[in-house]
Amino acid sequence: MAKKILIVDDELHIVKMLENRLKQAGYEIITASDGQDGLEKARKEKPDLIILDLMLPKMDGYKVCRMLKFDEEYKHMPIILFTARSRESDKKTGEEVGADAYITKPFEPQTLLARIKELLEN
Amino acid sequence: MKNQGSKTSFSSPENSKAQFLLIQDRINYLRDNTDFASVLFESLIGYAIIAADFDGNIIAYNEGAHQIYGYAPGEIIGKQSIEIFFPKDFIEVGKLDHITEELIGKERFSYEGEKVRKDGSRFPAQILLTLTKGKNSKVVGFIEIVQDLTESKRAEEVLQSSEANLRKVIEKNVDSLIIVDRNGVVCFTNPAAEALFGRKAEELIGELFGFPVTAGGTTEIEIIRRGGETRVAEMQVVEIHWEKKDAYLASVRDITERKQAEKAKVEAQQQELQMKDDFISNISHELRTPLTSIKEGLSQILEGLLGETTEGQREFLSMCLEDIDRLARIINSLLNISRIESGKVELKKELLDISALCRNIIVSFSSQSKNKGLEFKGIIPKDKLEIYADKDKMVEVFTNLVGNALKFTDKGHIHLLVEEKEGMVECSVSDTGCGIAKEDLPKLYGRFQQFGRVYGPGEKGTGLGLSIVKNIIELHHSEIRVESELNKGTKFTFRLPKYTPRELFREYVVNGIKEAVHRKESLSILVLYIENFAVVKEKIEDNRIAAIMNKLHEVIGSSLRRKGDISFKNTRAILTILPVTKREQADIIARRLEQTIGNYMSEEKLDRVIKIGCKTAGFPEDGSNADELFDKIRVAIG
Repeated sequence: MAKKILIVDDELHIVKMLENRLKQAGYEIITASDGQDGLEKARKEKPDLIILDLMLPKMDGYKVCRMLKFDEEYKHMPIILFTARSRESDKKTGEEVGADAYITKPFEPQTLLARIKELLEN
Repeated sequence: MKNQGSKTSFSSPENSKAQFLLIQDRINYLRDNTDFASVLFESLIGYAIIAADFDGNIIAYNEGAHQIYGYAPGEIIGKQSIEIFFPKDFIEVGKLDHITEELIGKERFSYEGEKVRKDGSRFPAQILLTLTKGKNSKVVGFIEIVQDLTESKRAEEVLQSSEANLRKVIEKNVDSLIIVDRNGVVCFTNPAAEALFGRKAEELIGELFGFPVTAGGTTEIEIIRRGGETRVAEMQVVEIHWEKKDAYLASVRDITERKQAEKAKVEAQQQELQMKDDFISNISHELRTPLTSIKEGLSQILEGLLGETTEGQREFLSMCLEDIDRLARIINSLLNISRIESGKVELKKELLDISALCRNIIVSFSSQSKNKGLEFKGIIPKDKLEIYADKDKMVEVFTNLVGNALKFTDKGHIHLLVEEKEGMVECSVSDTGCGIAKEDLPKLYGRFQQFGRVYGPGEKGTGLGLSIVKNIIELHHSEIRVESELNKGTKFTFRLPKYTPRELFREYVVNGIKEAVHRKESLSILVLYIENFAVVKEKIEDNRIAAIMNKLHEVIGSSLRRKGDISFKNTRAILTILPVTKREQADIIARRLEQTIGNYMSEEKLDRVIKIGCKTAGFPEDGSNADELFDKIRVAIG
């Protein structure tokens, strides 16, 4: 059965392109365009992996990440923080909220695919 | 006169003349006694001595009087000259009455007054009048001894005016002047000091000054005024003699306003940099987001995810992607520069073998240089050469410099030179490339300055590389130099201090204490050292000592597995910093280490030759700063 990936990003172009790439790579995709929606879909749909932007309307990516990672029921869900912010402090915050990977935009497609594969296999 | 009941009964020259007439009948007596006085008279040059009878007839007149008044003895002896005794106006205002009265009453009277010379000029004088008496104690006349005070008056005036000037300088001085004795007690203050301290002189004098006074140098002190207002002042102290004792003169200048202005300026600058950094940070975020979809869209087309493409389409798509990556690099570099300039970058300094680092650089650029047909040679010492620097940043420096050299050199060579010079490590990257025109050199490190752009394949520059290199080298407290000649080549050189364990250790202790203070925790340092180093040095070769020290370092390293323990060594000592460790805990660790090392030494049969000592010092127990802790272990680090 195809693995389910949740993409949470308010940039619709990016969501559409990522969806296309990942579908072609054989994944099942669901999407959300704000933090609140992302959190709800994560809880309801229980995806195998989440690609999570940081600057999101309603609830920022850190908070979404923290709420999932500090919840026994969802903490096993791998989360890739996916953001255009590249400060050391941002990465550190990402680690603190328990994210499994941090990928900066613009990204190398092969790197992203490799990380997804790696996290799904573990 | 007395019976007239008035002290000013001599009110005219006639009256005073009458006064002299009273002693007329004693004149003979005085004449008889001139012989015994004559020797004295003549030898006292500098004093005018005149003897007169009651009539005022001058009967003796010495050489001193001649010199002072100007009258020759022949002109004056035997004559009556009241004016030689008293100036005319003196007689007129009646001061004479008082003098006569005093003289008759006390038989001797001394006063300071004015005298008139033959030429009419006046001079200040000290005058002593003595009555002369006959055998039956009857007054027969008087003797007047006069000292010319002109010179001493002048000297006094000079002294007084210079003293007044000095007082003015002290009182009007805007700097506070405070004299403190050896016990730290204030003995003098000027008005500026009263104003600065907000206390009156009498409140300050006799009290303890309360600030450490040591001669030489400038110290900054904080003065808390009554009411709690704080003033910042700069104090300079010199040793002086004050009332025959050793003391200190402190001059204190109020710099509160200057300090506040400086602080405000720094804050404004920081705020400006922060705003700039935030701005650039936001802009890069905003730029990267659309860049992401452009890159991803083009990548998917190129990869064929959206259907077949022609070779021509793919070629153009590749070119687009290359430039998108370049744009991303520019954004990253901009962000980097902004962070360095706003002081946001904290170097992760470590002991770094620059030789090894440069050898890696050579390897990583070897294929690129081979492809271009260039000789890329490293002239690097075989031995470890350590500096204290941020590894990632140093790699960035060399990558930028070598990358530039490759870009601008078409034939010839590129040399990466590392050498030790005057205790420093000098690194240079030189090429035989196109060089930089003299007029372009000043703009070299400016942003987006690109010279001699090259056409053709290869990664394009961002125009920010050298700017970053310069920033990184400056963050390491050094500077980069460039020599270049058009069409001949370019050479970039910089120097960094060679690592000295002691300085490095000190820096770590200073930072450790800072951190400990910040976290309200303690810190200990521990030193293991060869106690009998002089003996050991004679008996054992340097190489062997170094090997032993390395082994000891290893032993310590493996027994201090806790994260955050930092350890260094020099030729005779190994220093370890133990953060969040109290002195007593450090002592326990020390005993454990001593035992481990003792075992090792006896296994190696070195325990008879080498004596290992151990010292610990704890913050805050043993001192409040790095130097005080170092004092505790000075014997160990040598």
